[in-house]
Amino acid sequence: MNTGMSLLFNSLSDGVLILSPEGKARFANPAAKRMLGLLMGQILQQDAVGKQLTGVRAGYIELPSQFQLEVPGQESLAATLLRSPVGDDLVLLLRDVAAQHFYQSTVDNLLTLVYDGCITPTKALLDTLAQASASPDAALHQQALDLFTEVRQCLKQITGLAQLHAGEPLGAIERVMLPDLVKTALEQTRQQAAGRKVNFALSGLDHTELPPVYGSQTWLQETVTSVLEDMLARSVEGGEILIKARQYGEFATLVFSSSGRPVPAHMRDRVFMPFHGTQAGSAARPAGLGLGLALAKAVVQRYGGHVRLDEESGGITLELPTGAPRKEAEVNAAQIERYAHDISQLMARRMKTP
Amino acid sequence: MKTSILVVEDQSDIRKLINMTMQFGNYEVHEADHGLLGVKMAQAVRPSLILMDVMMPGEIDGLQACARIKSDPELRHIPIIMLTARGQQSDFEAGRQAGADGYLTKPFSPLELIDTIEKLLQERAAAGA
Repeated sequence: MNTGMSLLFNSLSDGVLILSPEGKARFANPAAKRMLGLLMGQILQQDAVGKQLTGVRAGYIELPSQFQLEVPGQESLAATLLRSPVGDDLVLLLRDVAAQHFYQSTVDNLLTLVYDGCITPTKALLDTLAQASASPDAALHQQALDLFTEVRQCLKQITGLAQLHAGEPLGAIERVMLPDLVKTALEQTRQQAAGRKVNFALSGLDHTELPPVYGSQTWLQETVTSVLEDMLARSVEGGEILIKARQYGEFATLVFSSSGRPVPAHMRDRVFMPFHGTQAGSAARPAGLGLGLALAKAVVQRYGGHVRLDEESGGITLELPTGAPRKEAEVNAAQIERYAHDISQLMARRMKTP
Repeated sequence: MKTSILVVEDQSDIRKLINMTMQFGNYEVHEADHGLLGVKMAQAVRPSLILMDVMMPGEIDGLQACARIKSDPELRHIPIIMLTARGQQSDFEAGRQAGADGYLTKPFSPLELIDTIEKLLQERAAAGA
């Protein structure tokens, strides 16, 4: 194959294989090698490909032919077998359906977020504002305020994610106590917890025992609240969520666990990705915005910490470094001048001392 | 006899500056670069005064180190001056709760440092007399 064609095939994310009529691999681009784990010159071992080749040789399968290829360790590959433009060889095109689903669900979730999270409450807000402007009804004004808060929350999450993605600073470094974050998160999710009749058990959340962490109070609060909201959304009605705080050397951890639903296996590697999260959406029970855990991970990592999902239990652990970030002393010219002046004064004082 | 001062500060340049300044008085300086070491050195050295940075990396920060020293009956008499970067009211309040006796806002000058230390030590001596 000429260099230009090789370059073209090698740059594709879809797999391209050129096969002899017997199914021996004459060429495979990197994507195909990755998908099938195949060596050049080998006969393809996949039964589905063998059946296709037999069918083509016997004349009962017409090309191009499309079929599904099951490969261990991958969800599924969409395969298309066609004749090579030159010679008797065949071309097998492979597309990773799992990757396709991933991108599709990302786009779906993003559009759901924009529609359900922003457009729907904005429309309701505008309608309510129109009614409230002509009415002294306090309940209507409160409803408008609630809708505004909902819209604001959606915009806050989107702009927050953009801010983190752009690497913008997260604001002033503050001394933050983990028990305070948990207390506020419990207050912020009180309604959600009451709706699901969920109880909380707290352990190790004592001011005197836990060291502070340093970072933006606002962003760290958003992180803890997002994790608690996620745990609540996956909790069983009448269940219990345990929040345990501990210190391990120079790290403090907050462990959230419950007897609720674990994260489905196929979603575990995506739970901290934007527009995914831990919950599968359905018409009856829509998924969350899919941003909370992505924000939580980005914030914690920014401060040198880690976020982990316990695959068995579905629990989530936040790990944050204790103490202040390491810093370098900054001295400007005015300070140097002042130091020099003071040192000369101290020397004069010393000389006067008998 | 020299008066011993314990400096608990993670930034080595600031420790050096304090050490250099203290040479103009009759002081012996001990240094710790994190809060936990500061508490241990306070127990071992029993200094006459402690200069403690508020924001320090590690297992405990300056406020926690201050609180631990002040909760120890053997050490609670030692005056502690907190070194705070911002001088915010919240820092002063947190320091007061931790039991701090004074504050210096960074960047402080050598003269300001010596005067603050001497004033606090004189007050303690007068109170003890």
